[in-house]
Amino acid sequence: MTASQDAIQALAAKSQAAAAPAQQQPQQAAPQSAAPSDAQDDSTVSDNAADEAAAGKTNLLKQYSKLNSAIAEMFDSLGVKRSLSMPHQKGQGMAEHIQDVGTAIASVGGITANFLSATHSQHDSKGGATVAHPSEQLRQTIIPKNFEPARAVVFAVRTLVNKIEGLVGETPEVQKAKSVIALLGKSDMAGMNAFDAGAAPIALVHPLFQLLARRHSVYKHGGKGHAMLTPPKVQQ
Amino acid sequence: MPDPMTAPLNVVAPDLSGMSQPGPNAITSGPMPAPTAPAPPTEALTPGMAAPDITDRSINPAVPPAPPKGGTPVGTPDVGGHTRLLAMISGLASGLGALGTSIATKGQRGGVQQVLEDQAREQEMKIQAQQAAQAKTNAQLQNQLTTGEIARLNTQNYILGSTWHDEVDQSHFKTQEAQQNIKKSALDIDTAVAGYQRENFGLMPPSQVPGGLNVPGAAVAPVTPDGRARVQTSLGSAINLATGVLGTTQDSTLSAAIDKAKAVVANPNSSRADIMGAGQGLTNALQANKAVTASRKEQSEASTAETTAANAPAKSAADIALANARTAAAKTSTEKTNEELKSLRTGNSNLSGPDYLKSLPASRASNVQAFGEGRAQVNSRSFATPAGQALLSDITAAYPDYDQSKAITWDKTRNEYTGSGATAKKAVSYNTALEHMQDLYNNSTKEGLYLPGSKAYSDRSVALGYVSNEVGNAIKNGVMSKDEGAQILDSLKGWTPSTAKERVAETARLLYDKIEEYQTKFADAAPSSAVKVPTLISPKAQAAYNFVEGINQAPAAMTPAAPAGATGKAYPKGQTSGPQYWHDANGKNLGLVQ
Repeated sequence: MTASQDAIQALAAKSQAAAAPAQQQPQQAAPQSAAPSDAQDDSTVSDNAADEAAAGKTNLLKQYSKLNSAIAEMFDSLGVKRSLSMPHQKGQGMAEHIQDVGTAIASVGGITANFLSATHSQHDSKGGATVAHPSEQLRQTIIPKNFEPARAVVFAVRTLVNKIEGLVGETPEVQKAKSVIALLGKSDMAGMNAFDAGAAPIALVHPLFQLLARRHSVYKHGGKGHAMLTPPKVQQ
Repeated sequence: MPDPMTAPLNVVAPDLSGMSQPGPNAITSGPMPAPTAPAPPTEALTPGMAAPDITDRSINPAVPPAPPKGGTPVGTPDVGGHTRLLAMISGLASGLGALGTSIATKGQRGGVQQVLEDQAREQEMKIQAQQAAQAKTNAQLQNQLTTGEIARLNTQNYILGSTWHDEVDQSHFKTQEAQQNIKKSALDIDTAVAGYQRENFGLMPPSQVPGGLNVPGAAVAPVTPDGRARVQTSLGSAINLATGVLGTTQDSTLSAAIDKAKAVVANPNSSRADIMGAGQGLTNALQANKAVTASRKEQSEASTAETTAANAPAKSAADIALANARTAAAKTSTEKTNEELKSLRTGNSNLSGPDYLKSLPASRASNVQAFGEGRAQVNSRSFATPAGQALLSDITAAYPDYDQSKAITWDKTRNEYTGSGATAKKAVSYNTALEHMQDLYNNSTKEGLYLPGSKAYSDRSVALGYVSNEVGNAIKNGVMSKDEGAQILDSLKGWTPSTAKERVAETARLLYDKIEEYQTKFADAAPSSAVKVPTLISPKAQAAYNFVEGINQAPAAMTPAAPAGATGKAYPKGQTSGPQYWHDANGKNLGLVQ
């Protein structure tokens, strides 16, 4: 079982726990959001994404960048201090930026001790940055009830999945992602630890991006790239 | 010896005479001069008073420092005197406790046994503590792995997202997967049908059919679900074939064989013997039908020969009489049939063509129109019943050039040219290749041919790649021969911009001609001239061809539009080739077919 599956499976238990009256744990460092807004159903808003996708206006990377931004914002709002903020340098390529992050993060525990979230250099209003939060601290922090930044994360991932659905239809991958989001959306991830709340959206989007890349490869190059990456046994 | 205390000092007294008056160099005004600094000692002026000490005294973290004299090395557990004392007291206490227990219980409990138990318990606690520490380490490692995995997924998501454009729509993800599956299943069916037909229709001895069911000497394997599905599918195809042969003929044997085979196909539990029996029955019935048809043909030919011979003076009067009788009988039969058909019409029998159509009730007219325009499916039995005969009569009155035999095969024809048929696949390949000819033509410049890295070179390479892929796929899928593919690809090579452009134009012409040829054949297979035959060339391919050929306006559609009122095309009287003319329902000439 992979780590991503662990994260997704953890959601069910966490969400059920959140359904019960919120029990604030002593180590909870999360400041309540300014005013717990009424639980509004944002599904209708993000459903427009499918129409946008059909109309040919979809920018998936921009939405994915927004999702990362929302995750980082959620961690910040929970009071978890960043261990690293590496803004994107103008003119820098992705590989260079990743290399810089790799070098810098070694001094704060390495890549396995920090949750990395990254916004896109072109699609983020601040120019894009890679942000790290200490993962152990995130695991010890619980998402409170009616926490607006967590709701924003659910909204962002729901919008992204709806956009993808608008492009590829309701495939099994999309169905699965939507059912997980529905589970998350019921309680806005209240009761989950912050790490799982951040990891789940990224993990559940990953199979969809793989599907998109595969289909796009088939569309663009007749599946040649995909065939080369597929083990021979599967090809047969 | 003089007294040292009193004896004068042996020193030179300083000359202080100059102090009475300032000397000639004395400065009488201005700032006071800086005092002259004393010269440093000679040793200080030399560059190296002593060799520098370069001994490395830094700490090497990998090497523990050497212990001081009499000390213990670093890492040795610090078991001090107190610890040892505590251990001794603990052991003594444990022993005394065990002794006390033993005395109190008169040796029933305590003693050495209790001491050993205490030691074992202590050991177990140590092991548990170690396991707890190990579990904690494992959990930490698991957390680290999860964190690393999430970071990897996030990075990979961005990398995957970079493989497509920022702005995307549905068309960027339309896969050919479904199409490929259809092609594959169609190929499977074709293969199965071919194998079955080779086995059952005598094209190959059963023993030579790979995987055949009727291999003599071979062990009778049970029918697998897969094999059953395949054979039933091929049997279904054979039924279609037999149904086509049956046509409108009244062959009860063939009809019964078809019904039996259909029952076998419909039965999911049909045995191997049932399947083979049904197939064999079809084979026999088809062969019988073929023999009967051949026999009738021979009779007909013989009859014609006799009629011809009747005109010869050498023939006997009896022969002439016989020939005359047969001719008269045939004529009467035909006239009678025409009269019968005419009597079945539901519209005005004196009219024909569009006028006749107008004379029909609206619902009947639309039905007739659907058949006449090839929109309604026709099979061999469509016109077998009295109602069918009446319908056929109406159709032929409204569409005089309606060809029933073409109507029966029209569905297959349309599938062949626009559906999943090999010709349709070829047409798709030709169209796709043709669509890229404009790019190839535009980029057949000096830069495009000889300047790698330029946009033109890149665009030309991409377009060439598309054409090669399309041709390669067509060859791979068996819709195009290797020679044909090679001909298309070879014709694209040119060494100078002008020859390259010329070659591209030639290739475009080649592809266009092939599509046009199919279009002509397709149109000829239509049951009537009223059928709107779909255009095989795609608009994009047409535009590319126009561009390459320098045609400013789109040429007329490949299927020439019929003039108003035209019901068909015909050759001039007495001719079977050459230019054709449009005609209306009354046979009036409406102009040359362009």
